[in-house]
Amino acid sequence: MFENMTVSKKLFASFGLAALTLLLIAGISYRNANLLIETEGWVAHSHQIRTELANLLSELKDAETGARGYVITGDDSYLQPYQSALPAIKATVADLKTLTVHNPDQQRRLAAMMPLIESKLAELNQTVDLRRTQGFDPTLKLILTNRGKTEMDQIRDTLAEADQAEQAVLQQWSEQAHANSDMTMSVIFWGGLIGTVLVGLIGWFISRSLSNQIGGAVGQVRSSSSELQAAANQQASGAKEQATAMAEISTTISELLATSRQIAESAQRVAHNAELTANSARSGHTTVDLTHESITGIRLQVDQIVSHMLELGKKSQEIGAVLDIVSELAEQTNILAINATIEAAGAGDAGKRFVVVAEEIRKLADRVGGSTKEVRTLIDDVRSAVNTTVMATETGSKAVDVGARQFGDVAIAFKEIADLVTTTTDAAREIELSTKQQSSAVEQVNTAIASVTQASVETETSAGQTLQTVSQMAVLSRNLLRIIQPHMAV
Amino acid sequence: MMPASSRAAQRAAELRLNFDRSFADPPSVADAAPQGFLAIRLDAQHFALRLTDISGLFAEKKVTPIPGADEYLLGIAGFRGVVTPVYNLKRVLGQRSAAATRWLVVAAAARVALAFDGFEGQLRIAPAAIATAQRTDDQAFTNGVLQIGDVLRPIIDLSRVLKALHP
Repeated sequence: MFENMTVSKKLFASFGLAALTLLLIAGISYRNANLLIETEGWVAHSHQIRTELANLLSELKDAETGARGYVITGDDSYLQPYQSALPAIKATVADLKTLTVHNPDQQRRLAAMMPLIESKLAELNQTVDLRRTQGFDPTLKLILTNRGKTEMDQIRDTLAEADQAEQAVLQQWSEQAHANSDMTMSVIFWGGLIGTVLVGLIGWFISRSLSNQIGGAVGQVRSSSSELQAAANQQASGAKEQATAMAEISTTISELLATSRQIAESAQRVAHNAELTANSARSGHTTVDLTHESITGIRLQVDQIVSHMLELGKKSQEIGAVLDIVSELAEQTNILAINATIEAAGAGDAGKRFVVVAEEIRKLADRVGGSTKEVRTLIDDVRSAVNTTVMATETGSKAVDVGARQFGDVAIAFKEIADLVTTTTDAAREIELSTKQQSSAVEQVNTAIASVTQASVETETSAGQTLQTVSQMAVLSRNLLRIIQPHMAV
Repeated sequence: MMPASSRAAQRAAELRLNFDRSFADPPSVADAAPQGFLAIRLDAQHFALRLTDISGLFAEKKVTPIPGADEYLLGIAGFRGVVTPVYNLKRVLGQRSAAATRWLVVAAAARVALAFDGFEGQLRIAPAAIATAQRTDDQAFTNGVLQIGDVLRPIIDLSRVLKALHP
């Protein structure tokens, strides 16, 4: 608990404890001194009472002595002590009453003595009056009654008793004062001793505690300052590396700037080329359109060729029909010639010449038939050629169709190319613009990097200063430790 | 290679020349008296008929079938105003016949017509070129063979055919 307290609290507690001890001793001493003073007062009071008691006895003796002297001598001058004693007795009694107001025993004794004194004074007054008026003898007689002596003895005894009582009180006060002074002495001695031991202990404890605490703190400060020293070293080297890295970054960014400028120029060239390409694509599109029209024209011509060829086929078929007739005619002629030959053979010699004619007719018919067959073959060739041509033309027409379609595709492709090239142009322009913006941004970054480089150089400098300060702090902490814990300081 | 048009024109010119020459040449009278034949075809087989055996050749004649007639007799037809029975030559020769019988010859010896598939032309053969075949059962209706090139043509003996039809 005490270990966790702060130094000021510890000091406050220690000095407070010492002050409390001192205060206790002072309080007890003060109280004892007060008691002594009070006892002293009471002792003085008792002495005063005893003096007053002695005075009362003395005054009573004076009054008796004066009365007796007058009785004996009859001279008034002897009455003077008696007369001066009377008021003194009253005053002394009054004083005694006042002084013994705290003592009921003495009050009771005074009260018991008061009638005796009055009776004595009355006996003395009677004696004096009797001497003055009747002379010595009656007075002697009165005196010889021993009334006065008895009363005086009683008074004397009472006074002695009171004095004794007062003496006892005085004894009591004296004992009390002695006890008080003893106690005071003891308190002063033991209190001083205990206080000294306590203060010594507190001092030792505070010294030890503070030494430990401050020593620990100083040790911590020392280790912290060494750590701080290492950290400052690291910071300094880090700042140096940072400055180097920043310089490298600055170089890299300069290269980046140059590269981005090159990119901007390239993008510009790309945009220009894309524009040229777009123009080419547009002219290509026009050419493709023209070609498409040409292909359409070719297709129409091919269609016409096909229709002409079909017409030709039809005509050749008609020729075939005519040829059939010719063929049939030839056949009929042949039959007729054969029959004529048969008939002529049947006609004997007259028919022999006719046989020759019929034979010639037959040969002619044969030749016509052969020619007809040849013509048919030719016509068949023509027809097959026409068919082949028609088929080839149709294939060509289909090819032209395909070509037209493909040209349509090519035209669409050209249009798409043109569109894409336009998009490319836009994109290249955007790239150019973006790259220019990027260049300006990179320039700003370069400026910022320069600032950072400057800052890192400053950081390096401040790290050096920090290192210096930390070294001083380490020396300081070592010195402080040497002051507080010499055995700990190295 | 010669173009087709010029070849056709050349062929036409030849034809015209031959035609004109046939009228210009003097008629030649044969001294060796070659014999006349008709070259005919039954299915894929080639045969020959002597012109002296027939009295006429006809084509595309309308033949009217006769109800209840046997399979040889195709029907009857009119030839120069005479109604004549028409027989299927192939059936008569003992072959199965399903082919068309476009051509008809009328026999000289009897009023009988014979129908056959194809007519291939008239042949004039010198008597020396005619080989006389041996008579066998298979060649019951032939009495000789003509060899023209690689083609052998058995000569159908119409008298035997007629005998077979009208014994």
